[in-house]
Amino acid sequence: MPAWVGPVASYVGQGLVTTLLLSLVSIAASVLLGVVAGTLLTLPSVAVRAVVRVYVEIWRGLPIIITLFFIFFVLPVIGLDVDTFVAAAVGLTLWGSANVAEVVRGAVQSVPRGQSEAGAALGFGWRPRMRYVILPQATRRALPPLVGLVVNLTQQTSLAAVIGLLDVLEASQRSIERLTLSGGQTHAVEILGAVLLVFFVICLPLTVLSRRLERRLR
Amino acid sequence: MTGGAIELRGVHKAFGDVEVLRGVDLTVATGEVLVVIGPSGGGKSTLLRCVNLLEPVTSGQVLLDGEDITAPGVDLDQVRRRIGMVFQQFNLFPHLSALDNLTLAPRKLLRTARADAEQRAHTLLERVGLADKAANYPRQLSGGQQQRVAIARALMMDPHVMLFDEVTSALDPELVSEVLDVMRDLAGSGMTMLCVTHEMGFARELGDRLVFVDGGVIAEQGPPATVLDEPRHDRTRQFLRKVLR
Repeated sequence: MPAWVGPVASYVGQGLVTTLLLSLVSIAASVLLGVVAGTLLTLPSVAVRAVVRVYVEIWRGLPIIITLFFIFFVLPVIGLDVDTFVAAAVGLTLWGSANVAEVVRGAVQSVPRGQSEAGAALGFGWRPRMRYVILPQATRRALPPLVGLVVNLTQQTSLAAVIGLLDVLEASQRSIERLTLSGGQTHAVEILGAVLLVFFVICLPLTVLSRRLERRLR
Repeated sequence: MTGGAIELRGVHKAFGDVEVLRGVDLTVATGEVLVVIGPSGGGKSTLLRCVNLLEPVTSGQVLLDGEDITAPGVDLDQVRRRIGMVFQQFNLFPHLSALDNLTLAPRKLLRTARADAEQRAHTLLERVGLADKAANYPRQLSGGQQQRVAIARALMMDPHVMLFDEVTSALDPELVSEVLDVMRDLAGSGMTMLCVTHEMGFARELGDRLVFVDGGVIAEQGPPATVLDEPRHDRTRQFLRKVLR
């Protein structure tokens, strides 16, 4: 094995750890926040829905890269210094939670109204009705698109490189530059090939899972 | 079974500007089978849905066993346990087996032990002729079977009153009789029943009283045979001419 591989692998490996951490944090926060926001979108209160709707539309509508730039470069202007990792996680979570919210709202509202009425007629109040009748059905409907979102979010973490987070992509980039400067050979094909493979290995099983879930629903 | 009397006093129901019920007074005695007929859009389904307040009334009162359930502070979820309802589209819970459809409400609302609830569920499934379908999911059952499961599900809560909202309208013709058989059995057991239906034969056979609802009011009522054979009002006559043809 050539001498350059060892150091680069450990450097890029550290980047991969950052990427995985960022994915996990963003996914967890997005799902948590998104489920709450999505549930709020199904409440009768117009005021509550309007507020959440604004949140969802803003963060779903903005390209993630612009949100990241905004958090990282604009917030410090008003005195809010944000750590790179935190900025990336917040930016991805804003986008992720807005999208999860839409998935959850859609899933809940796609359960026929007769289901809620049947529950109500049996004496179930709003909460047990949601818990035992609506949510079990909504979850099944939401799962395939949610897994798709998780894949998407994992892929989008690579955008964090633009604000300088030392993730797997940024680490590879720097390795390539360093190798070029020191030895003249970039090894870009090998390094970026490895990165590609890593993303593929993470995301492929998830896409397969999503497709399976969808097929089982039919 | 105790109670099971329903009384509607001056019930109005409006959806926005559209007045669907325009002052309905109706008394259903314990054990009575009341059949509601009328043209679509005339308010008969809304009338039924106002009894368990699935549609909150705009004004007027609904009384169950003498208790005003439209009064402020009434725990509707408690009240609805005493009123079973069966829907045109069955509305079984698709994620649960027939057995679990029956046991969900008693287990979660009454905290009945699973074994007790299941035992009772098996008894009721047998009563509606579906003893062997307990493990089946709704999508594995025919429309008539689903509707019978839905009736059994409603009976699990020991309701004092049963509401039937056009329960045979979504069924293939050859499946109608199996559902009507179950309703006949239920009527024979002394259950108070309100049935919105297009089954005039059923109305004639089992109805203690027939109510013709049109234009948001009770246009005519009386013993089924009398209303069906000698309708007094033009509107009733016109309607019956169409459906009995």
